[in-house]
Amino acid sequence: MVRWFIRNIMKKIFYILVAALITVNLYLIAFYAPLELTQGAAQKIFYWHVPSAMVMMIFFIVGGIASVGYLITKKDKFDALAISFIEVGFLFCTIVLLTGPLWAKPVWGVWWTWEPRLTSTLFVWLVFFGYFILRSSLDDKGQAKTYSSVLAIFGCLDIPIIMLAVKLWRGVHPQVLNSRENLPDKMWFVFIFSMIVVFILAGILVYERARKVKHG
Amino acid sequence: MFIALLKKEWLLTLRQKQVFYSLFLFSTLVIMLIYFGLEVLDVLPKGVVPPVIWLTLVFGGTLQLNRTYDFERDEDVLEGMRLIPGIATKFYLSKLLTNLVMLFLILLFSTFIATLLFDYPLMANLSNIVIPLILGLIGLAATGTTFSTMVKAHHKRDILLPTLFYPLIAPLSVAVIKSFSSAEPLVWIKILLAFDVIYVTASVLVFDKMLEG
Repeated sequence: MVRWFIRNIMKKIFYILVAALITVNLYLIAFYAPLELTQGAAQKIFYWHVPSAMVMMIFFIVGGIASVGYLITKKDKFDALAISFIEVGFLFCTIVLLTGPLWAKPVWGVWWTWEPRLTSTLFVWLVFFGYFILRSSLDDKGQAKTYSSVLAIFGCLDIPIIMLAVKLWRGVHPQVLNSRENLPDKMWFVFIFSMIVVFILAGILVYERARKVKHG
Repeated sequence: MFIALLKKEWLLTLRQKQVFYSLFLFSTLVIMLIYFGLEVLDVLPKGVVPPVIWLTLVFGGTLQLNRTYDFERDEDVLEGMRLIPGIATKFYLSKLLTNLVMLFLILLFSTFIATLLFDYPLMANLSNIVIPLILGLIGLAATGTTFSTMVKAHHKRDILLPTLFYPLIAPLSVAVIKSFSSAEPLVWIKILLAFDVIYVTASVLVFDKMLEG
């Protein structure tokens, strides 16, 4: 009982610290990171856009691996892991899809363009949207878990094909944050800080989601 | 056992001749509707015909793929199938082969109708369109057969199947359509081959788990 209480308090303190980190991160993005000369304030979207894209990709792949684990062992803990990682990955995929056009409008003059990474992300988003539709459509929970695991595996197998096909189709994406040399020190610092914050936030969301699945 | 399963599939399929007529009529209607939609263009570029054939195959094929488990839906046939040891792969391959043949028939018919309605020089372009269409057809049938297993017992399967597997075949569609017009079709054909190999293999590997439910 005492151990549970202490653990609960520690968790709450940690979450408050993370909330503070997010606030500091937003402050740094708004006031500390310098304005990019050609893109202006729109470039600041990338401090969350790029880490969100990384979270999305890693979490979908982890979700796919957990789905393989579920299909082989049929143990619920793998399914809980899969749904948690895929749900949070989907959330960050949505953030990527929303922030991409927000950047594109002032910089390219259009909300949507069939630009390679945006298009790939849309395809991946649609594949995993199907994952939730399938899961909620089937009444038999065992079937829902098995079939959604298969869909997650197929979705993960599709990611490299989507990336390759769209890249060949639409040409190469302009590299904005591809290396340390392209960024001034202040921008690089805020970018790394944002990355840490986004990954911690995503980790917390997965942990809470998995806990909720485990406790029904 | 595989031959017996295949025989069963075709015996039952051939009994439903109205399905063939419906699929062919549907394909004709899709081509006509696309033609009307394209009429806003003063001159109809001949390059649109192969993508029209592909889209007709996707839409017509979806109707066929949704029928994959029509014969097993009633009277717990699948429950009985599950009891036979080592049947999963053979059962999947019999379903896949049936869908491949049915989709191929839709493809042949759609090509004929599109050639007729669009006055398309088919023979001159045959070598450019055959391989992408066949490889696309295999990918479509492989993913469609697997996904129809997921929705086989669902009363909303007509909506569910395309919702689930169209996003997955999006890169397949891009590759098929690009290989018609690309200066380097081989790159796209390699993508199509990779897609087919990956999805047929993955489907065979997961099917026994899917059959268990």
